[in-house]
Amino acid sequence: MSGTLLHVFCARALDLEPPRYCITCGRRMKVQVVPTGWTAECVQHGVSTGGTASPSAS
Amino acid sequence: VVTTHSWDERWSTLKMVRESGMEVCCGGILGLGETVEQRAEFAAQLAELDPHEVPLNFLNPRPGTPLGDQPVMDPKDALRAIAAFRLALPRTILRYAGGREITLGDLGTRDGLLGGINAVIVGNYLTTLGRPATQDLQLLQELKMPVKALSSTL
Repeated sequence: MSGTLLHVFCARALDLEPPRYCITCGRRMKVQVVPTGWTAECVQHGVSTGGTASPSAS
Repeated sequence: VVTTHSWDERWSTLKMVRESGMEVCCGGILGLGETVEQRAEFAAQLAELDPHEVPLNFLNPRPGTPLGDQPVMDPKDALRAIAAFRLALPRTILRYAGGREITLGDLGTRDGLLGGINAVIVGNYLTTLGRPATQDLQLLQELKMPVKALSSTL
C-alpha cells in the first residue's frame, strides 16, 4: 500500500477525533465528547467547541 | 481481552438480568483479531442467550493500546458478519454501535442497514466523533426505514 493511500485513511480517522492538543501551545487538553458535540479546554488558552464529524457526501 | 471478569461470570450476569425481568442487551466488538470461526461461535452463543438487543461494534484501533496495531476490519467482512448475525439472531434488535464510520464508511453503512442492521446509535460516541445524526436520519428516510424512537437527548 502506498504512503499516500495510508494517509487517506489517516485523514478519515482524524475526522472522527476531537482535538486532543492545543493548537497554540501543544498542551494536552481536557476533552469531553457528548452525542451532539465536544469541548476541549487548554489550561492556558481556554475552551474550544465543535459538533460531530464533518458531513460526508454519501 | 477482558481481565475484570470471566466469560462465565458475564453469562450468569446476563441470565440474572433476564430472570429479574430486565431487557437483555448484549453484543460485542468485532475485528479484535478473532477468526471467522470465533465470530460464528460468538453469534451462536448470542443466539442461545437470545438478547432483546445486540449492539455490534467494530474495533477502532486506538494508538497506544494493546490492539492499537490491529488493522481496521475489512468492510466486506464486516458486512458478512452483519448478515450472519442477522441470520443467527432473526428477531433481535441488531444495533450499529462504535466503529462503523471507520470500518464501513458511508456506502457500507447503507449496505449494513439493508443487510440486517435495524437500529443505529447516532452522533458522537464516548470519546470519538460520529457522523452527524442528521446524515443517518436522512439515510433512514431514503431507505424508507421508519424511526421508532430517537433519544430525547438529541
